[in-house]
Amino acid sequence: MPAALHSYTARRIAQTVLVVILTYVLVFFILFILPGDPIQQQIENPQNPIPAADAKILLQYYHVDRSGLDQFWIAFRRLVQGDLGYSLTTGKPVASLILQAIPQTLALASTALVFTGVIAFVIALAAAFAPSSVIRGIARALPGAFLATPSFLVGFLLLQLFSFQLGWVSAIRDEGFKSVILPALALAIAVSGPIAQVLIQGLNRAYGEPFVTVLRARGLGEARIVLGHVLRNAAIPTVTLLGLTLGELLAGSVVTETIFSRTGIGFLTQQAVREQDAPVILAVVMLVSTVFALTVLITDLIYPLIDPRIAARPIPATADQASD
Amino acid sequence: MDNDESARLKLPVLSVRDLAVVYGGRRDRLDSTALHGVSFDIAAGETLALVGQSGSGKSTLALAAAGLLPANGRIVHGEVHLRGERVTHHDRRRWQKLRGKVLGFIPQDPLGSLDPLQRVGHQLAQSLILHGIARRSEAREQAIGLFDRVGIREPRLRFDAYPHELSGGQLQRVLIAIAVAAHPSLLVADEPTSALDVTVQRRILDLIEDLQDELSLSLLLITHDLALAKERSHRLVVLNHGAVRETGDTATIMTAPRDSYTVQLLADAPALSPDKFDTLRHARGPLAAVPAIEIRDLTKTFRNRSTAHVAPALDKVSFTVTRGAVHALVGESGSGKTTAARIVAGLSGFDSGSVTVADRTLPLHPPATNHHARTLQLVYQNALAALDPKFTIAEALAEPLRIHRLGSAAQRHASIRAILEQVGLPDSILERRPRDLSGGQRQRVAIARALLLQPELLVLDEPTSALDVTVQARLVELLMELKQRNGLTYLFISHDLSLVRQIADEITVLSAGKVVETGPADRILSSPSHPYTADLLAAVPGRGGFRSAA
Repeated sequence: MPAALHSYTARRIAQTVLVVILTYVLVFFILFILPGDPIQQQIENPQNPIPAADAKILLQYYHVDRSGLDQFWIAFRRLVQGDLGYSLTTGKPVASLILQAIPQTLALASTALVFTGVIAFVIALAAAFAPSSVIRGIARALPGAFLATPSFLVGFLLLQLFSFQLGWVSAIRDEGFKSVILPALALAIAVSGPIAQVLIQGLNRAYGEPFVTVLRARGLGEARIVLGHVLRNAAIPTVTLLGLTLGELLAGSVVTETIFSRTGIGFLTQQAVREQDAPVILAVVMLVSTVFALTVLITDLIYPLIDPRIAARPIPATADQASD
Repeated sequence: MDNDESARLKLPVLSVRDLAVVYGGRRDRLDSTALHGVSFDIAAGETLALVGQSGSGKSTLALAAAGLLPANGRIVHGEVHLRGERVTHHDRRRWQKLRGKVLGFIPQDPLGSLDPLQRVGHQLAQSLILHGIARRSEAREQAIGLFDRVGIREPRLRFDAYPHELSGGQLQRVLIAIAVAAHPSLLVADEPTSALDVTVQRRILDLIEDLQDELSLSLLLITHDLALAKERSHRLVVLNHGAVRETGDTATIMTAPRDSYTVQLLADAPALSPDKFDTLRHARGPLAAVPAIEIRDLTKTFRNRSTAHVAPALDKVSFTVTRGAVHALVGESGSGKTTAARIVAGLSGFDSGSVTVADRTLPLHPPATNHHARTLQLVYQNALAALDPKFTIAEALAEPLRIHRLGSAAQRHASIRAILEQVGLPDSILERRPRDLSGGQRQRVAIARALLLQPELLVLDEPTSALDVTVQARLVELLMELKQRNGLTYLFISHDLSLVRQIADEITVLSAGKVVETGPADRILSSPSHPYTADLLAAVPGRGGFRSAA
């Protein structure tokens, strides 16, 4: 059993590294090697011409005259050394741009994740087990309503109420954690719908399993049955979705960051795409793909802790593997 | 106090009076009555068997008596007393005090009845702590002792196992340990062994009986198996459509049933009428020794690609099916029966040996399209899974004819109608879908579809094991009739030896992928030469006598 768990872990880590590397290769070739040289374009940009001396430095730095493969190896070696290149619009190092944006996004994403978890959990428990059928009905309708409400609308409503009407938090100034709450709530409302939905389904399915009848027959109270047994059995699909959501949140939310004037990864992405700032785009894509691969890896590693059958499970039986 | 206690002992442990249970919401008028006017008592130490077909209300009765009715079910009439306490309208909280302590519950499906994510030992220890039988520090040792008592091998090791790591029989032992953990007076067992192999079934029932004597437990045994009820119960309640048809001493009912429904049930139980088809067989006379299927040294191995684990499913299997015979392939789960059936049907390949079906030698690797579909057809155990849920019955039946481009549309229609008549289904069924039919009807559709191509051979993989006794009896009668009319040969896979005894001409016994014994049914059943066969035969319920009074 531990041996199976180790090989499972090793296999998943290797897959994750491979996914990140392949993403890098793919994105690099799309951005830099395919026709339509982003550096040359930026230099010749009529709205924002780069001085000849600077242009020369840029061309030298990126070795545009060499073959695609050479360019890739140069960039890859620099990447390993922590050099992500320079922004084509501001000339600042890409690494420092990213490092500046990360804390903003991290604070927002982690707070939003906590809100998401709490909202989804409360809605799902209410939808599955509330004693009143009216409350169950309302809770069942909420995920759909959340999903159907655009996050900019939620953001504007929250700003209207808490910043402009009540004046609890500034709409413009950064006031630390206080400024995180509203955008995090707007994000959480947007992403908690599907998670609550999946958790409701999981709870209902697990609650209908025969072992619940047996637990009841053993004399366990409903609260212990639900919190101690049903919840864990319902958790796997929810954990998957929560992991993907975390990836999404860490990738930065363009809309929410714009509304609440935060300068996180979402804001950086939006600017880079608008200015066709290829090195920044590449770095952002790499960051996002790494974050996604890691969250998926972590959720995969959490599965066996929740369900011991997952690590021990052999390759699924093929069609001709009959069992009687 | 002493007087109270002795008065209490004289009371029935469970008393059900005129009980009526209804399913359905309070507001909608489509209430369905699951039970009406059911009464019975169970005395201390007594076993009462509740027999009936599915839908007879026997499980509802068990759940009502244990306070476990689902949310849409409710008691609308009558009384339930548990050890003298009126529990008819107990709420959750009051039931919770009785569960485990007064009443233990053994479920039908051991595989789904334990939380899959918790170690089995913890689940038992949880019950011990919950009911104050053991303190937290001593729960582990007590649980291991109890595991040992219920016959779990290496209890210390098994304590930390997860449910998926144990076999069905071992899991049922865990569930029994949990059920008796807090010393209840009554056990409610809902088909406790119907998901298990016969030999395991016997050992589990023996264990329950031992515990009953040791702990002076009463047992409410719900079963569809009359032979099992005959052997294991003191008294019997026969249920049909939610009403009691007959109740009384097991021996009396079995030897002199008064109700017509009971008579029918007894006649339909294969274990209780082993010679039902003897006249049919005698009328036919002896079979000519022409082989329909010949299997020599058949070997098949499954490899698990990730663990490189090699499991032989069939190991040098040889047997011959005589043309016109019912050849039974028997064995417990995992013995390789289904694998052999799939190979014979040309659906899976094999490693070595030879398989000849109706003078055609099968290749090691089956071709993508099954060329001998018109010689041999396979009928699965689960007809619901074998029929496309989106197809109407008409479409499902027309499909094999379309694939083989047989006849015009009108001719196809005519042959479908003819086959429906043969399997005893009305034409009105054609526009319905599998889900709208009963289990027996679906299996008839599956048989009809297999017969449409007029094969010589049918491989029947446990065709009746998901069905009720009565439905099974009708289906077996149909199969025997079809066989005679169309001159078919059957390879009949079954774990039910009483059914095999009724219909088989030849038997092959498989155990762990090897042939233990093969030959004429009479010889194997009357004088088995291998201890495994003898063991299988001895485990068949209904062969022993009645259970003596408590």
